Amino acid sequence: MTPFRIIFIALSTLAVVSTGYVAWQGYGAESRDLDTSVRVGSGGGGYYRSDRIK
Amino acid sequence: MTRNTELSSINCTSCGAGLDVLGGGRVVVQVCSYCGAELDALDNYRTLRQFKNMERPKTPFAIGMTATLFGAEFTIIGLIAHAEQWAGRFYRWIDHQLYSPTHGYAWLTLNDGHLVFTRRYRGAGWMSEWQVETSEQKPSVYSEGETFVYYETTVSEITYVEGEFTWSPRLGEKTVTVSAMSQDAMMEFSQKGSERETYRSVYVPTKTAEAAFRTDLNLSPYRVHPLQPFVKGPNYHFLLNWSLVFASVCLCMALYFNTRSGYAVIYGQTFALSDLPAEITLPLNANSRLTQIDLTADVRNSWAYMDIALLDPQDVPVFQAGRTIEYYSGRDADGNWAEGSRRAKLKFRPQQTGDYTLLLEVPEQGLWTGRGVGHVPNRPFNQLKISVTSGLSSGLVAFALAAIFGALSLFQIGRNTLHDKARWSGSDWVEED
Repeated sequence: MTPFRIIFIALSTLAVVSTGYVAWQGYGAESRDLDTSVRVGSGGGGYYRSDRIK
Repeated sequence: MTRNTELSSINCTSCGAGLDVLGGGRVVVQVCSYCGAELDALDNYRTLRQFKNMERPKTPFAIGMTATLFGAEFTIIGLIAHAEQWAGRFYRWIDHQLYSPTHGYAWLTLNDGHLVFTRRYRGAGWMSEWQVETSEQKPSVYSEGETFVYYETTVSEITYVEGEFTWSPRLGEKTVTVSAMSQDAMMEFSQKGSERETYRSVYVPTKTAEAAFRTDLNLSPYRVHPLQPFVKGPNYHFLLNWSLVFASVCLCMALYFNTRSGYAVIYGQTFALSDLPAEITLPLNANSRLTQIDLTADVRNSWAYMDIALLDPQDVPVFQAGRTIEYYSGRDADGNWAEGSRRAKLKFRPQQTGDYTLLLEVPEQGLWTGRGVGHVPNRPFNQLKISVTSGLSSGLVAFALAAIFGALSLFQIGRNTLHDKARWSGSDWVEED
C-alpha cells in the first residue's frame, strides 16, 4: 500500500464519516425561503382579522 | 547478388570521405553522408548519382548507433526523411534503417517525438487505395488473429537520404501508403509503381528506446500517437475500484437518511376555514435534527395562500414563511389534465428545547374558473390538515459526495475512452451520408 493510497483511503473515509454526520443531523436540507429577519411587534392584522391596523 | 560481407569501411568514390559499412549483404546502395553521392554497393561503390541540396533532418539518432530492441541487437545504417503535404499542412517524419545480423532489416521511425518500430510483413492481407475510395464502411483486414481497420492514406515523398539501403531510394520519389490499425499495431500497405510491400509497426515508448540505445534522446512527444498504448498508471484500478466502493457507501447512506421517518410531533390535526387563524403548540427538542411541517388542503380548482410563523419557547419569532396550495383539473381535446399539488411543506432545525408556537393563517384564497376547468367548488377549501415530524435526516449531502466519488470512478474509465479517441483523431476517414 503506497502513501498515496493510504492518504486517499484515509481522506475518503473521513469525508464519508463527516458527510454521514452532516446527513444524520439534516444540515443543508432546511427550507431556503424562511424569513428569519422577523421583528417583534404588531403582526399587521391581516385582511380577515379584527385587530387589523388601518 | 550480395555485397562482400567482410567489408567494414570504404572511401566515397565521389568525395573520398571515409564511410563505415554497417549493413549486411543485402545492401545495394550507400549514400555518402558528406556529399550525397549514391554509391553502388554491388559495383565497387561507383557513383550512380548525387543528391544535392538536401537539408539534414533533426534526429537524436545517427548512423552507427546500436540498440537492443525486441530481443535483437540492431545498428542504425541509414536515414530517410519523408514529407507529405495534405490539407494545407506539411507532415514530416524520419525513417532510420536498422540492421541486425540475426534478425535482418527493420525501421525505427521518429514522428512528432514518437518512435515506431517497423518490419516487413510477409503475411496475407492487402488494402488498396481503390478499396478505401469505394468502401461505404471503413475497410478492414484480418491477419494473424488481429483486425486492422483503415486509418489513413499517405502520399509521401523522400526529402533526405543518407546511409545504406537494400533498395535504391530517389529524392522526390512518391509512395502511396494505406495504413490500417489494430489495438496494438499498424499495417502499412505501400505501393511504388508496380511494387507492393506490407509493413507492420508497433509503438516504442521513449523510456524503452532510451534504455535500448543507452542514452537520453530528449524527445518531446507531441499529443497522442495512433499506436501509443494507454498507460493506466499504478493507481488506475485502485482509484476506479475504491471510488466505486465509497460512492456505493455514500449512496446507501443517502437512501437510508432520506427514508428515515422520524417521529410525529402532531399528526393530521385538521382545521376548518372558520378555525383560522390558528395557534398550534409544538413541543420540540434542540437536538431533534430536522423538523418538517406538512400542510394539506382539499383545494380543487382553487388556491389558498398561507402565512406561517414560528415563535420559540420565549415567544421570540424564529421565522416567517408563505406557502401556496393549489390544484387544478379539467378536460380538453387531449383528455383529462391536472396540475398543482394539494400539499406544501417546510423544514427547519429547532435550536431550543421547549414549546414552540406555530401561527397559521390564510390571508388570501380563491377559485379558478378558467377554460376547460372541471368542477369548481363553492369555496376554495374546507379543511386544512397539518402534520409535524421531527428527528428527520437528509441524504442530500451524501448524494453529493456519492456523485463526486462516482465521477472519479467514471473518469478512470473515461481516460481509456478519451485516449482511444485521441489515437483515432488523426484518421482521414470521413463518413459520407
